[in-house]
Amino acid sequence: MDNEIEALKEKFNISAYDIELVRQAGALLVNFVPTLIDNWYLWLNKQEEFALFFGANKSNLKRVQEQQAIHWQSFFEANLNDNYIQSRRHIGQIHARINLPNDIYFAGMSFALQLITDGLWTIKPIPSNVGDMANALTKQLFLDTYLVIDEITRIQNFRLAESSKAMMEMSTPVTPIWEGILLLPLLGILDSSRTQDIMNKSLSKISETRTKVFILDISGVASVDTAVANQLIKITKATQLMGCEAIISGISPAIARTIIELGVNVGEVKTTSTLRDAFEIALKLINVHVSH
Amino acid sequence: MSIFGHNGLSISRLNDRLSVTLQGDIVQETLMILSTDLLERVQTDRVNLVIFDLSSVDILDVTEFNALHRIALMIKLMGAESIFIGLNPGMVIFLVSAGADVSGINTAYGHEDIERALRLLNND
Repeated sequence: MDNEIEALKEKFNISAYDIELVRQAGALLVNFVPTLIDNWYLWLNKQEEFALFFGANKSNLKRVQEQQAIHWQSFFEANLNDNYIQSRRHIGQIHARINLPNDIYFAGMSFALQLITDGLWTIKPIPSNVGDMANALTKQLFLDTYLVIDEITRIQNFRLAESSKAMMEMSTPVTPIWEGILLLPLLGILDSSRTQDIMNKSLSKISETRTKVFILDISGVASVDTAVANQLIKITKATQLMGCEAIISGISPAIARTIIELGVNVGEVKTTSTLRDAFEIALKLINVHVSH
Repeated sequence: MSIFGHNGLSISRLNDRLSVTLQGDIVQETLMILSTDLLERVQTDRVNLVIFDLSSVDILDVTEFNALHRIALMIKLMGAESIFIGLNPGMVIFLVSAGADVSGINTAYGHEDIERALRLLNND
């Protein structure tokens, strides 16, 4: 962790002298911080995001302002240690949770920096190293901003990975709909990795549940070409090898025409145009009679 | 029961059966329209059997026969059966000698013979 902090300082070109300057500026601006926060909220009040995040809850605003006072205090103390980085990452987590847009965050930080540098110039008498101070403050503020945004990005990537994993799980919902009948409704686009996944999942489910009839519903499949049709037939042949009857349902006129025009040999696979017909056949195959 | 037709073509429905009557000279265009309409109706009307009545067809070329054959396969894909009736000897001799693919086609002599053909079909 110490290495990380040193690497960050190195990367952002923050020297010990810069930290000293920030602390000096902090000492000079200690009475200015409340004005800084007030002015900053005057600015935020004019932004449309203000109503969105603080509109309904005035006590929330008060709490956030108090947090901000502590934040600027730690900023001017410039103890770039573990706690400092953790506190910035925590801000990132909060911003990620409320889905704060990046533009308002960057604009806010930029405005805060502007307020601070303006504050520096109001100090009487003007310190001789005021330019260096402004530079040091800018560097540290950029470091802060980076830490917050990095955390937001990390959380967003994490969410994305989670949802794509969930999508993969959802893409092959093999469900038993009756004793001895498995249904697999397929949606969207079929590619070779997905058909492989479908094959594995359905075959293991078939052996697990001793299924007699397997219905593959393709009414939600966007397009069927030679490759996809052959893959589907491969799946049904594999299930038949497992001693399970396979029915492909949801063959629309367009899909039927494509398969025949492409000259795909469907062989002995049972096919129906609606899931209802497939279910009827399946019930017949397991000797269940439904009276109307 | 409903009937709607194109040139040389009429489709009528009786319960879960569709009867397709082809007349005169069958052209490729007619068959294109037929495949579109027919497949739609197989799906929407929950048809079990499509009967192709060719008894009033004058000339059936191999290309047109192959197109009909493909339509029959499409119907099979959609979970319905199809049966051809009224193929006359001259037509059959010509098709076989011209090397047409007749596999997977069910036939009957006429409407009265359909039940027998269906029994054969279901015993497979």
